[in-house]
Amino acid sequence: MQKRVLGILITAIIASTLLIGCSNEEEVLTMGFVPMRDGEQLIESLEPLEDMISEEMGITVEAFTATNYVGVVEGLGSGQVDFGFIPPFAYVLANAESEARVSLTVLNASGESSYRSQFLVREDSDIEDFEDLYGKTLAFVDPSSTSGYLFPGAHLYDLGIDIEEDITYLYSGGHDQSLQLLLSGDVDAAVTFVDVRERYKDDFPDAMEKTRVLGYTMDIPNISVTISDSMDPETEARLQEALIKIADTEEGAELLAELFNIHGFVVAQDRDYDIIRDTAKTMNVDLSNQ
Amino acid sequence: MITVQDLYVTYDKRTPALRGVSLDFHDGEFVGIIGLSGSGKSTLLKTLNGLVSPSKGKVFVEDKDVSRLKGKELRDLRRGIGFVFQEFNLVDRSSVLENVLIGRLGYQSSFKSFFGVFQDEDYRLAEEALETVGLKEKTFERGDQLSGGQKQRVAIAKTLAQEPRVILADEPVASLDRNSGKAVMDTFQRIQQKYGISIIVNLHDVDLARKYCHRLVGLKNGKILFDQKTEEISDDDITGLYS
Amino acid sequence: MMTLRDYIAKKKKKNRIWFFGILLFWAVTAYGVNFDLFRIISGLPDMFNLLGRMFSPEFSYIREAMPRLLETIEMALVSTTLGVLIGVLIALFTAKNTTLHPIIPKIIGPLLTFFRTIPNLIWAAILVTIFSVGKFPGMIALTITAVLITVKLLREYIETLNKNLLNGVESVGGSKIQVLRFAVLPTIFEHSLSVYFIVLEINIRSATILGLVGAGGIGQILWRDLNHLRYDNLATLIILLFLTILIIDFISVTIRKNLKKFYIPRTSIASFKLQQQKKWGGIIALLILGFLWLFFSLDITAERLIVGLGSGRDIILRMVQIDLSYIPRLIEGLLESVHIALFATITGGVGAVVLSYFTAYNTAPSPIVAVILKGVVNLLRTFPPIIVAIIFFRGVGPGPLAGAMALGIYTLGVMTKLYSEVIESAGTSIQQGIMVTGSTKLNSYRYGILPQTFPNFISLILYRLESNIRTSTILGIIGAGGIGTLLSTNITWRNWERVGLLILGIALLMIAIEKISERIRKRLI
Repeated sequence: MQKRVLGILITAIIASTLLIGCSNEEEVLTMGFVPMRDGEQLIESLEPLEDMISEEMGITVEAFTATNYVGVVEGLGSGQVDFGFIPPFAYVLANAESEARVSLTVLNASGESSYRSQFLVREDSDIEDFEDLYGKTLAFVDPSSTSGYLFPGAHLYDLGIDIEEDITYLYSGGHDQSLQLLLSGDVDAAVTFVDVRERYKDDFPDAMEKTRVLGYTMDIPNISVTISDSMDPETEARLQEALIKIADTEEGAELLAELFNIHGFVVAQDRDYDIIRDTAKTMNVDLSNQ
Repeated sequence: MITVQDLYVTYDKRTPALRGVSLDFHDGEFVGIIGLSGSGKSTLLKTLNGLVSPSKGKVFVEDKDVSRLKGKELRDLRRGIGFVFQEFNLVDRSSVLENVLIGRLGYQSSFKSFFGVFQDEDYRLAEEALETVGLKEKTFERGDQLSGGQKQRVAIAKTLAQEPRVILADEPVASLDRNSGKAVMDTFQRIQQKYGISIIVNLHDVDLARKYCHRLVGLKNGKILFDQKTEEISDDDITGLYS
Repeated sequence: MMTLRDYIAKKKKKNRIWFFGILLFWAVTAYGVNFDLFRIISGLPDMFNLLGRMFSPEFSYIREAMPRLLETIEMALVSTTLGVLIGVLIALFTAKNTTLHPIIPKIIGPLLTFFRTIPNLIWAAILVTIFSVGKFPGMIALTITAVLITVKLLREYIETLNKNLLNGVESVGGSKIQVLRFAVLPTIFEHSLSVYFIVLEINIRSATILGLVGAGGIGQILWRDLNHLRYDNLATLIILLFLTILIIDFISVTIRKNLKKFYIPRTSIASFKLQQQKKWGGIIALLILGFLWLFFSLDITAERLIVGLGSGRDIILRMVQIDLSYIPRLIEGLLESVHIALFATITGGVGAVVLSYFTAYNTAPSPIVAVILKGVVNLLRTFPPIIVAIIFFRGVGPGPLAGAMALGIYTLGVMTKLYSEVIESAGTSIQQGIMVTGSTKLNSYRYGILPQTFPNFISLILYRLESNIRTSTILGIIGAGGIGTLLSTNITWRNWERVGLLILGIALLMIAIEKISERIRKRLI
């Protein structure tokens, strides 16, 4: 008798556990958000954006944040993530891996769809020109960073400076860390987004006086809205429309600007990102075998 | 030389182990303390060198109140009293020599001994002690390679290296077979005769106690039942003790 | 008077309550991490797709990876040697039964627990600020972890030592220091040696995480390859790590097996004295060598150090001013992390009890099965949890499930390895005692070895729970939920006041877990 009760209970517990999540059959779009690290502020909650898109599209959107893009790129590949706000380099990787498509590019505060990164040196440095970098030490951010590694690295290659041969470099782990290394004299030059000194002026109040800009990289496409290959074109069109519409309303624009540093969207083409592919190629990142 | 006055010991604030014990030990004696397990034998012995503190009453060793001693003074007192445990308490992973040298620690500064620095005199005494217990050939073996009887003799050599006035032994043969036990008791006898060191030993084996000890103290439920010369003890006394 | 029938009924009831308790607990945590078997099964093809891409390791990459691996091994060796030597000393002075004063463990104990809860990433962030990037801050971070783990593992061991052993030295008038030196130190030597190898392995694995903050070594290229989705290179690196850990394991086992053979009996007092001098000379030389090595891997000037110390102080001062308004997010994150860690620990732990039976030599159906499974288990625990988390992420999407499954698999690997070793060392006599009654191997496991070694198992699993919470903080960076997401974003944004609150929250949670596990352990042993 007791044994039977036991058996029923176990089955019940296991079954109820296994069936959690099977009950909600309604369509849900999963959105990944990988903030660019040059944002004005930490995005604390994605809820407002979730709500706006859900309302506009009539489909529930569930969003999550990740500081690193690898998980989101894999999720886009398998269809577990339907669309994501991801850095341009992450889009190129996702596209090479799984036919994920770029739908929109975010506009920044100056209304542009691209940004640049800067080479910083100390004010009293004897480095006046890129030529002077030979034999010097340079801080990159990390090998996954578009603005902190790929573009500046490619920029140097284009100027004839082989980063493996002609300079010493290290990865600092963050734009702020790069600035710190430069200020403490550990490196002779650092690459950061424009402008890290403004963004972290509370942490490094004297950064503006103590450093100067040696030069800028080429334009880098902004953060992209990338769509998983598994999303049907009709939903994609609705999403595209919804995002653009949100940015056009006064209320939506304010919220996007304030919370996410997003100042509008433009429709993007895959070829806009060819520059990233070329850069990746220059930097010896193999995109072919994925 | 050791005086015990109206001693009470209570563990965990509840279980009484000793309930009003008074007695004297003299120089050069071979005393046996007998009684059932739980009668308070072990506790009595451990209060003599301050391993256990009394809840009431006093222990004087050469006119010093043991319960008032602390730190350096207590260590100096213990240095002069050898203590042999039932379970030998050797450091199994150290060599026999190192174990015997432990007996010299009371004479060393902490700093020097931390790096294992001993004087030539210490080594001489350790060697001599090992010779006395008949284990000189085992000097460099590891503690865990010895038999139980040998371990106990090493423990005795350790106390000898202390150059003690008295050796306390808590059930030293209880974990040994008969022959090893006899060898250990013989060693005690030899030490008592050769150096005049007094021996106070807890035993539950009455025959062994009668054979080796000059005086027997019977403990029952934390109280002294009898305290007499061995030859004066009657069989009735013994029966009373174990009933 | 309890009759036999009562006893049997009671025993049955107790077993049933245990069984149910664990099952219910598991179900609650499974709910907490959104466990969903169908989702996992339907995600399998996608997961295998990613695994498949890893199955084509790029062997020509070894040439590039080898120097990095050696750098990692160097870092791990230096920091482990220093850390364990220092850790042994601290453990001696802070164990309850050997400490110089009873107040010391009461103060140092919680303090060490607090430091142990600080994730490697935070150590590295502070140390990089002070000492610049490179090997040095990495080694310091590893040394700190080595000290903390050594103290934890050894202190528990010392506290189980027999009081008699200490009495043996105290009764000759030895001081407390002498008790430590002559009774405790020789006794814990062998155990310290195995702790050394455990810590060495942990440090080699942690070095992969430190690659995130530019500490060099294999972690740096592992991180790069992951971010470039070069799974072929990643596979090569994992194979290299796997082999390294196997070799360490082999050396550890060989040394411990032959320890007695290394004991060279002396023939005279003079040679004994010489041996003593050599031994201590060797240990001191090792310490000095370690410090020198550390010192020379630091290539910054004194002025730079002063600047660094200043900025380090600023960060710590800001961390101390914790941002209390962040508490709701903290609690939310902690709760999710606890669910992840508990689910992983229970799932992995229960799995390990089953898997250990087939993995330990003395219980496995055949030695071949044991050897094969040992290989599998070692592979499971070499895979950095973050990579396993990405695989699951691909299969089941965002949320705590991916992290929970990754940690569960890691726990399964580590627990099976540790517990099967416990079975091997404790099993044979009990096993024979039951097998002679004509019972099967399985029954001897269920009724002999399992109850006998259960306290060990509980100790291991509770320790695992603690490390799982720590590891789950790393998984947050890919969006696998828990406190880690908050921690990594706030470090990136230099919100030190919030980082301070998060660390405090994690620390309080860990101290609470430690207290609870101490209770549980006491009741069970």
